[in-house]
Amino acid sequence: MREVYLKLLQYVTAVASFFLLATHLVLLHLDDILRVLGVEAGDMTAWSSVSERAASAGWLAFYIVFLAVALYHGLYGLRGIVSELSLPPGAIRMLNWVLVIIGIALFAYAVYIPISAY
Amino acid sequence: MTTQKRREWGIEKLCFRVQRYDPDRDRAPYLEKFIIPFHHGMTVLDGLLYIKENIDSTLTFRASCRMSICGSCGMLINGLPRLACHTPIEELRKETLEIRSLPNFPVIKDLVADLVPLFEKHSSIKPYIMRPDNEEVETPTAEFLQSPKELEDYLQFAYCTKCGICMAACPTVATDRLFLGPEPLAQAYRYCADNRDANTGERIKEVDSPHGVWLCHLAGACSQACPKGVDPALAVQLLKRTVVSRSLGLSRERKPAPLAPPPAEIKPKLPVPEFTAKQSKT
Amino acid sequence: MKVPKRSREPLANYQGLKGWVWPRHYRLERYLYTLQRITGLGLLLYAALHLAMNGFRLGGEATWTSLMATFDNPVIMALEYLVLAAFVIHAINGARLLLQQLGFLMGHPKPPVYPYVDSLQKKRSIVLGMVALMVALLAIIFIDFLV
Repeated sequence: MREVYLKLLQYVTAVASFFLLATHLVLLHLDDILRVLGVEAGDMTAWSSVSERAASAGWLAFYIVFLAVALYHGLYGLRGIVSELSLPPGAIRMLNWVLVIIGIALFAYAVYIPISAY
Repeated sequence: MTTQKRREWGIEKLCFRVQRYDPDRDRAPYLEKFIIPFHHGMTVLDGLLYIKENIDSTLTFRASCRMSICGSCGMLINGLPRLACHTPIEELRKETLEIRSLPNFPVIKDLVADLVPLFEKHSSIKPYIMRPDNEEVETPTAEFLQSPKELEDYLQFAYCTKCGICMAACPTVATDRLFLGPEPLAQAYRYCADNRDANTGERIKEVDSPHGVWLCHLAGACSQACPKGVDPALAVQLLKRTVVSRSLGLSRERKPAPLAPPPAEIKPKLPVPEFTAKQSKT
Repeated sequence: MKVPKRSREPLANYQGLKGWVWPRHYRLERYLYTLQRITGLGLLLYAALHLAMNGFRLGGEATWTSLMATFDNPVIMALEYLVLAAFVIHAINGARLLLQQLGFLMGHPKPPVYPYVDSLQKKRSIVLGMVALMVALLAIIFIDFLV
């Protein structure tokens, strides 16, 4: 795939993961700010809350999309950093495949958890 | 700077710590100290020339025009890549100067860097006008039409002197030897933006590669270091925009600038008497 | 281009990783470049740990609750704050980079007149505004963590 399309996908996943990660972080960590905004989220890490989200199709879709965009964005960034280290050409090709395999494996593992709980 | 201000600085002598490296003798570069007299208006190049003429004639460095137009004397001066002829010592306000060869280029000897990698990358982006009527470029019969606005689209980037200072400043060039670098990418945009050229597509193939334009992360060091105000960072980002718009089909190869038509009429010269030495004596 | 054969190869003089992490004399954008790399790698590392931690959910309520109890200490809270800080810095700087790398917020080419002012200098106010936003958000999140 041409580099420009990979880079454009990086930009698209950047915007998407900004909104998705911001939602995720605010809900899970910034409960005082949410309270000021009138949202009572409670303890989002408690088992009851986790189970409630596990049973929701909306949250399942959220996590699947979030995982896909965040994994692509992060692993493409890592690829960029490692490819700047003057590796031999064969190593760069292997790096690409290794990152694809790691990405697919992490995605499969990470979506299995919410899907199995759904 | 006035005489009074020079007296205020109170400097009589300078210490130049200069990189030395003789490939026949040394395993690695080292710094050699030279004490030289200071005078008002002195540049780093003046100091190096003094050392070569009065202290050590074996000191090797490149210099030519001494007026920052040729780009030969690029060096690392007190941690920043600069032109030695364009760096007044009073601006640095330091009595000790550390001068090394340009980083990110191999060292041939002392302060002389091997710029062949730069020239090879520069050649790879096809830095010349390419158009369907190439024979007109080779043997011109008339000028190409270009408005002042069209000239302004690329003129800034045409001031590049290929000194290599931007490449020395770039953090990506520091690790990736295959990365094209700010100068070739800026020159690629210079030709893409030139309305006389009609082959942006071929250059895009070269710059849209694993070690091409997408390894620029806008650190901005190249534009800060450039001694001619070329602003290669701006050119690279505009090149990215060109690549994206072309790839998404938002723009197409434009028609190149047409030839200027022959003049519609030629006004005859005014009848002025012919003055010759013979006639003026009469 | 035909290069004449040399009797001795020039000595390599690449800065290497020092060129990434040692911006000493350069300006704000060079430091932000280094920060973007560090926060990106930090977030990626955190993401990997986080995904591994999520696997404990498969162990049931008791496993999950005991894991959450181990995270309830000041060191973990400080690390969580760092993750949030890394997100704020990476996201806001990333938004600026996305726009500038597509040619927006960069201005137009102009024939240079000495003293030269490059496009990043001209648009410095945007970057400073972005840094101010980062600092404000980091302060708000810090207060949320403290309270």
